Amino acid sequence: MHSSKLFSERAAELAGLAAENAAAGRHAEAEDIYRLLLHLEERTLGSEHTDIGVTLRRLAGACRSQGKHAEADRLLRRGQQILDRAHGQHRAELKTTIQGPLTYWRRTGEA
Amino acid sequence: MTSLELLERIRSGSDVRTAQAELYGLVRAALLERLGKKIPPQHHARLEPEEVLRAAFLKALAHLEGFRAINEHSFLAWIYSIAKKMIADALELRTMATTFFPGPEAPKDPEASRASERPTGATARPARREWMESVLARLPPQEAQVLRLRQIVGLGYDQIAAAWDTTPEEVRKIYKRAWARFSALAVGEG
Repeated sequence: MHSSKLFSERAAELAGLAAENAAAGRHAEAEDIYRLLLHLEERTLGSEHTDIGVTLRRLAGACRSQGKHAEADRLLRRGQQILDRAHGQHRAELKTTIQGPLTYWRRTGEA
Repeated sequence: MTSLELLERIRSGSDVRTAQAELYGLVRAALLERLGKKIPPQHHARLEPEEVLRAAFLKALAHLEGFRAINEHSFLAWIYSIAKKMIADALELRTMATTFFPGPEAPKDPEASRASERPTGATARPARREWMESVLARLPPQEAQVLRLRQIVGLGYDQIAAAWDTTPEEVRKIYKRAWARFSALAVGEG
C-alpha cells in the first residue's frame, strides 16, 4: 500500500478513537491519543499541514475539558495560526486563478 | 398522515413537535417488536428496545437533511438499520467487556486473545482498527487488555480494578505503562 494512504488510514484510526473517548468524557485518554496523532502527523506531514491545525484544535478541546486552560490556549493559537496561513494561501491561489478571467471581463466591460 | 407527509412537515418547520411525535408513533408501531427480537433475551435488562428505537429516531432526525425518501417505507428502513447498528455495537462492547473481564491472569498467547475478541457476522466493526490491533498484539497481554478496556470498551479504572481484584491506582499505573509502550511502538512504525 502507498505510504501516504497507509499513514492516513492509521491517522484515521487514532483520530476516530480519540473522538470516541472525548465524546464519552474520557478526556485524559483523548488527550493521550491526540498527542500521539499530532506527533505522527508532524513527523509525516511537516509542521504546517492543515490536518495538524485540526488535531491541535481537538487536542486543545481535550485539554480544556480537563481544566488545562493555559495549555489549551497555547495549542488553540498554534492550530489557528496553521489554519489561517493555509486558508490565506488558498485565497491567494484562488485570486491568481480568477485574475485572468477578471482582467478579460473588465477589459470587455462584462465586469 | 403518512411518514412522507410527516417528514415534509418536520422539514418545513410546521408544527414540528407534533409531527415528530406522530412520526415516532408510526416508527414505534412498525419496528419496536422487530427490534426486540434482535436483542438476545439475556441483554433485555440492560438494552431496552424502546431505548434503542428512541436513540435511532433522534439520530435520524439529526441527520434528516441528508436523507432522501424513495417511498413510504424508506424512513422506517433507515431507522431500522440505524437501530440494528446500535444494537450490534452495544452487544459487541458487552462481549468485549466479558471477554476481557477474567482478571489480571491474561492469556499467554496474544493471538489467542485477539481471536476471542474478533467480532463476527452482524456485530463486526469496520476494520478501521486493524493497525492499532496489530500494535496492541505486540504489547504484553495485560497491557493490551487495559488499553482495550479503557479506551475502546470505556470502562472506568475502578471497574477494571474491581474485575482484576486490585486497586484503581494500580490499574492507572498499568495503563500509563501500556500507553507509553503503545506510543513507542506506534511511533516506531508510523
